[in-house]
Amino acid sequence: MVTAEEKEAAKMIIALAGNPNSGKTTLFNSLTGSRQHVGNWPGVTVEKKEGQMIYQGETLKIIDLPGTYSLGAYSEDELVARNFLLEEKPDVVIDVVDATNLERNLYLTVQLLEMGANVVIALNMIDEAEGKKIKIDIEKLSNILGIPVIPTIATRNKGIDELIEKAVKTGNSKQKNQFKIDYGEDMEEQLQKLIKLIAEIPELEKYPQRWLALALMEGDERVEEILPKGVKTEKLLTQRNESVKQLENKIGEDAETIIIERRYGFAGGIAKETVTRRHDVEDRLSMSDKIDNIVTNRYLGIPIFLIVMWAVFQFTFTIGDPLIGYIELFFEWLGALMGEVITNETLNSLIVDGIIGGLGSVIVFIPPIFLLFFAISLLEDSGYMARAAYIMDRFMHTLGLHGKSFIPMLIGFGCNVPAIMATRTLDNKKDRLITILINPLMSCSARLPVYVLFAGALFGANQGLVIFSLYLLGIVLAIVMGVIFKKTLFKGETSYLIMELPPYRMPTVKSTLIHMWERGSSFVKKAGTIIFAAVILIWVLANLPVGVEYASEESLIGKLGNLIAPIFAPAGFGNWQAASALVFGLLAKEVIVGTLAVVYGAGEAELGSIISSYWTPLSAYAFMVMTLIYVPCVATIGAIKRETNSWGWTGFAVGYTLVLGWVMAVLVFQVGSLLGLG
Amino acid sequence: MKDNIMPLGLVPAGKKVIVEDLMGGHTFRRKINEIGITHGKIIKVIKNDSEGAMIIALGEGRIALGRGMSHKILVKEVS
Repeated sequence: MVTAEEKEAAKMIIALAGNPNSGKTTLFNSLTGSRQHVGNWPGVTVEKKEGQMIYQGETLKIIDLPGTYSLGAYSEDELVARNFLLEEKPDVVIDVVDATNLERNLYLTVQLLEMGANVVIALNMIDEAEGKKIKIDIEKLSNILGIPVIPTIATRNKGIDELIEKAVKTGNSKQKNQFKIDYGEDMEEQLQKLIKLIAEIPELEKYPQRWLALALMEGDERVEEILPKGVKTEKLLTQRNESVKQLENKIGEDAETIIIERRYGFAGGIAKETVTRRHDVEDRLSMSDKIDNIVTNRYLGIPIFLIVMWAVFQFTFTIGDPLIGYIELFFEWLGALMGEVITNETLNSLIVDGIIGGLGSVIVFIPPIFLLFFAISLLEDSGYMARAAYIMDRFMHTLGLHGKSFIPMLIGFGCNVPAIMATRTLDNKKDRLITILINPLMSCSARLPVYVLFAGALFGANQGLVIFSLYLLGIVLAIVMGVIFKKTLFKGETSYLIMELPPYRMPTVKSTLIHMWERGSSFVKKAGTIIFAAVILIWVLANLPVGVEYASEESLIGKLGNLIAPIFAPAGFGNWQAASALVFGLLAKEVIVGTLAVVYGAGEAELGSIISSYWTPLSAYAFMVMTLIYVPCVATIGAIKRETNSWGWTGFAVGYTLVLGWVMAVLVFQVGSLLGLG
Repeated sequence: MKDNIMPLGLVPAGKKVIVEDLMGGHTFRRKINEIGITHGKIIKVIKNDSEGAMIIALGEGRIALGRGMSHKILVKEVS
């Protein structure tokens, strides 16, 4: 993960660990500022964030580990964090601890210490703890754990300097922590037996022995995987099985439960000794609870949620639309200007139709996507997003999913690529797969231009209703497919919601902007290049074979369209123009509009009137239904492949949407024709 | 009612309970343990609509818990 070269360049490697919602990301942002890089941990889909900071003229490399409650091996996040600590051995680990929830956060701290890491605690959100009348004896906490504890307020950059100073000092000291929890006489006896056998295996030298012994007692399968093959390992495992059995016979509880409860007991004990709070405060409802009483109310919850969603889309489009207008104007102007300057016909066409047109179609996309992500980040940072998941849990349950799946579905209205990335928050693999599979049915913003074109050209005053019906159709199909998948492919799996509801917070502009930027720019990078390449490809196909009239029936585009057009005859749009537009829509759905403009030989302004003379409302509706459902765009297919890590499921997603789209389009056209709507 | 053990899902809002036992499989127990619900822990029920997920308080933390899960956590009321 960290190459020798990088290790050379950075004087010290600092890892950030902590629970979700502990303010870890905020701290990471204030440490590294803009010097950060988001990638993936090798082999898994967990995001890897690393950054740099300069401290006293030296470069420190900061690695943001995934937020976890523990370092078991039960989710990819936990495994990634743990492997990094075990294999890369960072010089120091800053453990970000939520001061308002010391006990639970200390559970992770204890595990970090047991792994032999050099830990410094950032006791974060100390202001909120004070606001809640929680007083923490910092010196005592530091003494009991034997590590530095620095109070911080990451959102206001407080305590950061001291934290880094202590972290560097800890990283430089060669001392190993001597931390140890007493697991009770019976357990300790068994642990000692295992440690003895572990010491005999030279390959395990680099791992902390006591930690290995504990993990083995917990039945941690991932740890068994790192054991080398051989007689000594077999001996170790036989002893482990023996120890677990002995312990269970003696205490009547399984070893794993004993260890977890002991750790919690330890964390709870420290919390009890170091935290004082006014008792009358504990029983009072907090401000957050009062807000929750309204926001999650069984009758008010859903209306409030709908209003919030309406506001999000209103915000995205009222601010976004004029911006889109300006961008379009700019590219038209640029195209006209270049058209005059460049006289060579082919070159002119390449630059004006191909490159400028292509760039324009990507950039036009940026305002709504960034605005949507801004709104979503705001909801997340304020704490409302978790409530939305809670409110939707009952509804999602009828799909066999839980509330958390709802958020990716919502983001899907903006763009399916980040939506599919957002399924990473789901820890049940099957839930995640279903959510990914039905996500492309949420009508993303790229499909809107197609609806606007056709509905505007053929449905006049009813166009709003027509567009709304398509969004609704997508949602209904997602529900139906979700239930079908749950009942057939993933039978018998119940999924549970368990989710922390962070207290409501005023989101800071900085962190909201950073979140927006992270998501938005990764979308532009991933989708933008594909859309741009698609437009160039269309231009090339429309100009080949050499000498053919641009985008005519004789061009490659026309021939391709003609070839597949008959398939769509039963759906009412069996012409080569529609067919080739659908082919290119594969690259990105809004490319359909551009392709239609090219094949009808019209500018986007005249396209509407041309469409209304070639199409009927019924065939147009069938075409829009097809556009909604058929095959996710290339960027989405790429995201599905990346997140499922399986070509099988990716192929399945492409296949089922194609069939479903065709069936629905044919159904619309045939039933409509029977009813005399044609 | 006082000494009766009952599933957490049946505890009305506002009541405080102590965790007596966790039922269900290995993965479930681990998950619930790791978020902080362990044997002997005091939980306050913040919200329980008798259907859908419930909200509980664990110290300062608030946790949303699905109905299925809440029925596998056995608790006893404390005064």
